[in-house]
Amino acid sequence: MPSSKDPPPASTDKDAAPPLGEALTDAERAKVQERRLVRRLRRGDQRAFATIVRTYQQRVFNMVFRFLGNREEAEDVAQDVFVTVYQSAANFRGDSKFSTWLYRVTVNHCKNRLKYLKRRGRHMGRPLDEIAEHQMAQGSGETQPAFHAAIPRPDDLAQGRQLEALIQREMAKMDEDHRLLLVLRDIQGLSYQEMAEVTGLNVGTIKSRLHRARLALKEALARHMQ
Amino acid sequence: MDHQRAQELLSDYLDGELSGESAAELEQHLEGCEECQVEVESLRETLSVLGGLKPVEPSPDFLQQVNQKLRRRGKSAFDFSFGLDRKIPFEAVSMVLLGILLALYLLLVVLPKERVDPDPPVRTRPDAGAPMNPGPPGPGSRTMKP
Repeated sequence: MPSSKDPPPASTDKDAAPPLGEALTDAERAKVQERRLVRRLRRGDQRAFATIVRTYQQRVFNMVFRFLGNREEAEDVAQDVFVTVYQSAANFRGDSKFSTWLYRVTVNHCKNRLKYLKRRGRHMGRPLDEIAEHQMAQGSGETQPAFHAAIPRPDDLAQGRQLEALIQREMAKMDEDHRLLLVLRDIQGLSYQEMAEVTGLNVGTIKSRLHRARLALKEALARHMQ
Repeated sequence: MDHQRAQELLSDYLDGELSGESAAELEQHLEGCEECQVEVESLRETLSVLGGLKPVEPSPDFLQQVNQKLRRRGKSAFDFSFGLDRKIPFEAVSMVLLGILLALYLLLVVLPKERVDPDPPVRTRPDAGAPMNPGPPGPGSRTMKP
């Protein structure tokens, strides 16, 4: 299940595609391209930055949205993430994958925004119907087959959207750390090793907390399904 | 494998994180434990629902919004890379500029003053012993008029 959602970073720039030997695998080629892209970013290359934003914007935005549960906040935070990436590219030493560093920056921004919102007593998620409406407006109202399997009437898209909104609402009630692990693993598809690098937790802690988070979500969904 | 342990390992089992031996032990327990069977199926269902959530897309002008933010924060207008591999931090550039300004101030303002106003010459006239500042002139003293 994990790690299959991370395609290699695409490059739209002509000089971002290096003349590589045929012996390199796709993964190795992607790694070399990513390294070159990041090197250009560290020089302040605007085109490299644009390529990075286009490559990762969907993953970063989706992660922030699932974590914060609010589209406007998610847009703002996701933009801040890329601003930080541009300004702090020199701090990326290349010890980990660029995407791992990017996720770490994203998590920090999300946590800071949550603190900010809590200080102002603002509610994190939007009402169920509003999210469902938005999903429909964005054209993402269609649900996956696996998604359908969880609801009593698989052909009813409205129910699928409501279930999605319900998940978002129940996740919003969760402990922040538990929610983060659910997002990283079960929505974003990170490996346990990547999660450890992003969160700074050890793999054992991640596994036990994630298990508790999954059980909590399962119980919450079961209450609504009955 | 006891029931409690089996319950704890269900997530690892679904993630494929158990060793072959542990997975076999758990499966053996599952065959005889209806509660664990229900639990593992509902957990599988939950993961399936989460994994099936369609990714939410940012607004179409996301990149433009990011660039606008960068411009507003005044960083993109200044590129301190100077052709080097790394960008030079803004703080470092500021310190160097401050140092240059201080050096210029010393060279152009402080040092020329010292050259123009050297130490007053030591008096060598016979009345050199007279007080340097005799005080305000008395009513009968002669004063030079401009």
